[in-house]
Amino acid sequence: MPAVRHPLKHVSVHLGSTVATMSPLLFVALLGVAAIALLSSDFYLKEVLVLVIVFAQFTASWDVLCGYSAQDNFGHAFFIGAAGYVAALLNTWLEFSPWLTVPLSASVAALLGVGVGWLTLRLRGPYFALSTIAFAAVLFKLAYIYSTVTGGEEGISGIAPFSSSVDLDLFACVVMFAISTIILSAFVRSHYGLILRSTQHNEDAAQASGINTAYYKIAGFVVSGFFAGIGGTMYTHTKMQVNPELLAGSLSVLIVLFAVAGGRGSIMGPVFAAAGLTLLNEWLRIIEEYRPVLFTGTLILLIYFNPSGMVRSRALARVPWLRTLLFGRR
Amino acid sequence: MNLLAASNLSKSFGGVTAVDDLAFEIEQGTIFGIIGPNGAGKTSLFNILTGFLRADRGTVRFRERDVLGLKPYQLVELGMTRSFQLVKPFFGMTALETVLLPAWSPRMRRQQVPPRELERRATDLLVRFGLHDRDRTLVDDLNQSELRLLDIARALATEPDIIYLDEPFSGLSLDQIALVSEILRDMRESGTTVLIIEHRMRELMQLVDRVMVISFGSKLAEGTPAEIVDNPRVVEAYLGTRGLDLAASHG
Repeated sequence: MPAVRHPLKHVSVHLGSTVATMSPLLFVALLGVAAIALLSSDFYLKEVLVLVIVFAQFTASWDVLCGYSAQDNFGHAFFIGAAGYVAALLNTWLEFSPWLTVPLSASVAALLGVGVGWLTLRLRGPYFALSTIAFAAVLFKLAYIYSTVTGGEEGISGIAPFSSSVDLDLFACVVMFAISTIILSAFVRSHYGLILRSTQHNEDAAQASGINTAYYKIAGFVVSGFFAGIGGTMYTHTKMQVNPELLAGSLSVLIVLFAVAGGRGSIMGPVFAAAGLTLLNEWLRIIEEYRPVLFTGTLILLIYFNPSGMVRSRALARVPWLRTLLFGRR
Repeated sequence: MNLLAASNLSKSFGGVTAVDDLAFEIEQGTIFGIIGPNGAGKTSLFNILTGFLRADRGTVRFRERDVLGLKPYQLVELGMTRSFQLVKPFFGMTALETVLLPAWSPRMRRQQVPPRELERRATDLLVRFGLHDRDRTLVDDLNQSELRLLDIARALATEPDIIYLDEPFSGLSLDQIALVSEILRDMRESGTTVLIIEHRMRELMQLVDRVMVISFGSKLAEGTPAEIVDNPRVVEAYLGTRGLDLAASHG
């Protein structure tokens, strides 16, 4: 019997109680990563962990809108790449500090969210998905056309990192990701999440309940775009370069697959799926020739055996304490 | 006092005229029935009145204000809401969450009701509709009649001045129909106006103050239930032999 998810409280009111209901394992894992950042001397491991956090951020920001409204955005790289390029240009042209480029670039992505949200309001299902692909594809192409600005295929390099050490960069990513996840979890537990869920199956009834669903969908795009933008700038400043791969359709599809494998509409499921699968993909580099087959094979098997995602797997439903440990309380 | 007045209302889909130059007025605190054969244009009329469909021409005035063309959520803000003929629940949400959703409409937020009070009101609504033991049940697990009742409860949670109910008795047991009828009578007593489309004639005629009969999008007749069941044109076009039974039951 599911509990009511406090639909009558605002996001701001709800941050504290959200933390109490979030996945305990997530916080343990983040503390572990922070400890590695500060204590370990394994440079490669830290690089991998940055990538894990960045992909978890991408996927969580996708899930906050698409997982709850059941609209499939196949062009999430539009927000990620746009913020990444804006951060790169602000840093290399205007020498803005990364601490300034992160909020500014994420805000640009949020503004783009208003535009995309408004333009796709009336679209549903495959029409919505196709239109989101188109947005990302246009930006991907523009990155090549305006190569004098974007650096074309080579992209932009020489971007300042968050700090002079990988340790502190990883630590910064952990902090930004933790804050993002808490805010995203609070958002979906608030009335915004409730209303986005109500639009999944019956938007008419939501409107007949007095809800301006267009406003809430655009708000969802803004939040999704903003936190995708933070992920994009994390990537840009930790990799110290940006190229059209950050706008590629393959990245968007990978994010959707991670979210589906984890269990869309739960934030924690997609986060753990993205983290675990990114780790797996990196470990598989030791057998590079089999990597694509093993990685995609694992993804397919995960989705085949748990079509509703890991978070809703029958095996976990039989062990409630494990489910709570992994994904928190509903 | 007329709460709602529609005039010259028309809507066509290609060559098919769904609503044809309809005009009617509804007094506050009454229950107004709309009947007619399938395809007569009843639901199209509801869709126009509740902002889900754009009329080709005509006017709809609510409290002397022209409301035609407003969006559904804007109409709710003014005090108009509806239930649906085909109930599509908010899958993945509980029954309590469903009736709490209108708490986030501007109409309810304007009242600045504390969350605890809103939750109490929502629970009271579920109790009223006999769904009190289903409050934390996912709507996915409710049966069709429970979903029908929940849809009406959701609409009532907006605390409307006028509510449009599209076949609210469909799929309900006789006990549930009696329960809904009692709730609607109570609403009428408290000054709420009800518009109701229904095919269950006996139950409808016992409930409503006035009835409008629509056929091929046009008004065929309007009057009290007794006048309607005696109207030969209505008997011929819609009621048939049922009209004689109803006339007998009306005395």
